[in-house]
Amino acid sequence: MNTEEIIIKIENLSKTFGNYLAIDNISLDIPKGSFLTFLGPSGCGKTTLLRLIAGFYEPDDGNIYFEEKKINELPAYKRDTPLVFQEYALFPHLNVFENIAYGLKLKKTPKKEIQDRVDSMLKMFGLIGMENRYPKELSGGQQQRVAFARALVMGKNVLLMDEPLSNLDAKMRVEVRDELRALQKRFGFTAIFVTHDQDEALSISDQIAVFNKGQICQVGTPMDIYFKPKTKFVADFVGTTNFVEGKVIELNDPFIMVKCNDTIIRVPQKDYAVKMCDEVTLVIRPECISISAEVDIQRNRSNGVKGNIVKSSFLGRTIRYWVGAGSMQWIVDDFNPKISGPLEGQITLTLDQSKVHLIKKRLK
Amino acid sequence: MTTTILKIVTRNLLFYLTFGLLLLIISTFVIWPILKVVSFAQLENFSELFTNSRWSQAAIHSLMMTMISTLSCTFVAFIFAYTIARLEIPCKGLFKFITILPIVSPPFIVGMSYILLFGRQGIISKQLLNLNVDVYGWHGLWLVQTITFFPYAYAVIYGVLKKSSPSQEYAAYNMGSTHWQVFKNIVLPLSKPGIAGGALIAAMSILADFGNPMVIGGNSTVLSTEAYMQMIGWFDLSSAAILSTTLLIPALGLFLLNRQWVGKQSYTTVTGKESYSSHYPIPSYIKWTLFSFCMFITVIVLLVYGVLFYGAFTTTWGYNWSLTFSNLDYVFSKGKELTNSIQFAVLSSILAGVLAFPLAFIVQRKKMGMNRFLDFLSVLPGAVPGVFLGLGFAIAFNAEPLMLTGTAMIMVIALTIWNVPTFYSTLLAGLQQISSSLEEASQNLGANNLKTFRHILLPLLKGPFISGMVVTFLRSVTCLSVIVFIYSAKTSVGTVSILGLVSNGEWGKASSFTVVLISIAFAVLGISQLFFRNKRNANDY
Ligand SMILES: Nc1ncnc2c1ncn2[C@@H]1O[C@H](COP(=O)(O)OP(=O)(O)OP(=O)(O)O)[C@@H](O)[C@H]1O
Ligand SMILES: [Mg+2]
Repeated sequence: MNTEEIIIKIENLSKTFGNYLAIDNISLDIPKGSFLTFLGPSGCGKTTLLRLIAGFYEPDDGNIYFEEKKINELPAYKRDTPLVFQEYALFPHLNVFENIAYGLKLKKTPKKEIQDRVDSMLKMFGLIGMENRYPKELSGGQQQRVAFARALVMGKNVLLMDEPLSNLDAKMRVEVRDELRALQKRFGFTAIFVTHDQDEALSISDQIAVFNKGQICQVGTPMDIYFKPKTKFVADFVGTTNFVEGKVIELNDPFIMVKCNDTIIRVPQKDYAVKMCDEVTLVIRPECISISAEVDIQRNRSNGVKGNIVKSSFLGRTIRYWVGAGSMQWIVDDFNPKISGPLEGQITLTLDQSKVHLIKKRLK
Repeated sequence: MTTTILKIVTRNLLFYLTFGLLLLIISTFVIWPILKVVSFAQLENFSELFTNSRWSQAAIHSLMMTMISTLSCTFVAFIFAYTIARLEIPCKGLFKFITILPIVSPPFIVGMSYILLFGRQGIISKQLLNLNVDVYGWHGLWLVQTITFFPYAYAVIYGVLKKSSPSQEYAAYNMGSTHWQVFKNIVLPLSKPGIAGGALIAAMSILADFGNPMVIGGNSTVLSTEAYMQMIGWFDLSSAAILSTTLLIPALGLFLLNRQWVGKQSYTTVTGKESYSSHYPIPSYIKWTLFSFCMFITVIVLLVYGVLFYGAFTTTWGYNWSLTFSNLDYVFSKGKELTNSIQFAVLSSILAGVLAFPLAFIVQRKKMGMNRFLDFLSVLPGAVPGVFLGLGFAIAFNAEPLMLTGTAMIMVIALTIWNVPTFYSTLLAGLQQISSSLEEASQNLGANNLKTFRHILLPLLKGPFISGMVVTFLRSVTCLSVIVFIYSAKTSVGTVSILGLVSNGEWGKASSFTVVLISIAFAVLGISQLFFRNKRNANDY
């Protein structure tokens, strides 16, 4: 990524509201043409950072560069960073056409060109025939398309989106997000997308930045974020996770042996900087564990855990099991449930060792 | 650190200049006149309030009248509001119409009609019953104030009742409550904020009223009329100041109470959406009792206007009942007063808008610490009784550096200031409905502040602007209390002429003058309504 051209560079940025530190010393490079997602729980500062980029707030500290120009004090209307607002913010007194054409008109674009560009947007978003309607005469999904069209029609290098899909129903969300990704690839603009929906983030992004309390905990590809979270927070926020506390008892390249309670778990060495006796947390996703009814496993079979099924819940594609084993409870997803019904009683868990991830405990 | 402060200041230069200018204007035309009056009244002279029996009588009358009239106003208003909001009855349109009538009428109109009906030459007292009673005094004033001011309380109570959904009532019926229990346990508690707010509005208006006590108070003056007598009769500025200040104290108290208690929840929007939901059927005897009560009040109000129209075309009220147009001719011969009325009202409605907009904008949109203070200043003139404000202007601008006595300017400025609070509240409510993300979206698409204002805010605020201007116009045309101390021969207006005619007993001319004023007001209201109907209502958003 380092060789790529950086379109927006954020450097030690901070923003406070009163006494509240909403953005806490964030640095971030956004490569040109990439699809970057801000992911994090409510109130962690995603919107604030987006609005800092759009110029609605001024940073208290740090710098924002746009194509290598410092834009800290550039007013919003000179930034060319169209934003799709969470609540759409369509102009209620303008019809669909006028809404989409608003930015172009301000730029004194020739009438003919406005007509053409707006028409192509209407076509792309399936809004033909609705040009003369007013926002309140549109459904939520249609309004949301107009909001996209209004921002996209500007033809800028950057598109900012603040939870643009949150008002859509589940099915529509998936449709629109795939459409959006296709669009972004077609036009090649840089997209910054805010969401607190992890599925959305994983499915749409080149890069995900996970936020917590005004800081970015990790930036990485969806795969990295999911399988190699750097902190417990990231692991917990993105997907369901089994956390297993343990201690390194053997460094046996290419494996690290970790003793957790009375089980020994083998973790493949992937540049983890651990020493003997380090306290670590293992991150194991529920779908990386297989469950079987056979109970008498060999003593030395690696990454096997004996347990008792506490409860189970049938979710259609999967069955989720809660398994008690010693002092800990595992969550396990079985993706190929048997038609005869969920397992019960004593079982054995087998951990897919290639997907066991290790987080070093922070020294406090 | 200082450089960043400097930077912030220069970037927002226009904003700080506006802010400073607004503060200057408010200090000059609100704070300064108030201080002038208050300081004019020497502290030791206040003891006269207790020794001078006329004055203590006036003070007691003011308080008593406010108390009993507020009670009766609120009672009538609640029945109106409940009946209109909750019951399935005919004539709702008529009842609603009755409640907007006083807003387009001069404030003393009910008093005048009362005399035309029950006075010495009254059509009922003299013509029908052949009595010779003294109807001037507090009984009459009580009735008159009730009829005049219940619509103000009604507007607030109705707003609250309309907003609360009847689902709780349904739930209560569902659990087996009787109608009376539902009313006592659900309806009444839920309308409490409305009732309190309505009562406070009514109390403030009654306390400050000048027109009606002037017309029918007779010998029992209230504080506002006593102040007027002192000033006009004896040119006793100091006494007028003491009486006005005495009036200001309870008025401010009510005002603060209103702000504290009722807060900002009771904004009644002009273009409110009516939500339709069927209500639980009330037993028909209750329903028709309430209906009859409303009808009775309605008939009285219609009688008020009817008798006025009759008076306008009667040769000499009480003696010669033949019809004539000569009164109307007289009104048009006094064209100067009429054009003054209209001119001042138009100018002040524009100026009030010019002043109210930046105030509302800064308070609503700029987060900058001073907001509460600025908000307070913007509504402060609404707390000051009209008579007090007028007296303040008369004292404060009768000397250099601002020598305005007798000019049209002082009239326009006084009316402007007096109307800023209503205009401001209307715009503030309008702005609150416009999400600030619309402005951000506009900037985001490349519009600077000015363009955003022109293309987004202005069109969206059209509704509140127009209704603010209309209301200001109506209030200015029908205003008496504020200008009664500051008009001159050249700048006299319709309401002042009417007061003069009334005190000379020239009822025909007074009525026809009033009728002409009301007609103008109605014309303006009608035009604005047409305008509202034709335009796409962006505020529904
Ligand atoms: N204008 C403001 N004034 C004061 N505090 C603010 C302001 N905007 C945001 N905050 C605070 O800053 C924090 C971050 O807010 P932000 O809107 O960025 O959260 P978010 O990550 O977008 O959350 P969500 O997912 O709920 O939209 C919150 O605690 C919020 O209360
Ligand atoms: Mg947000």
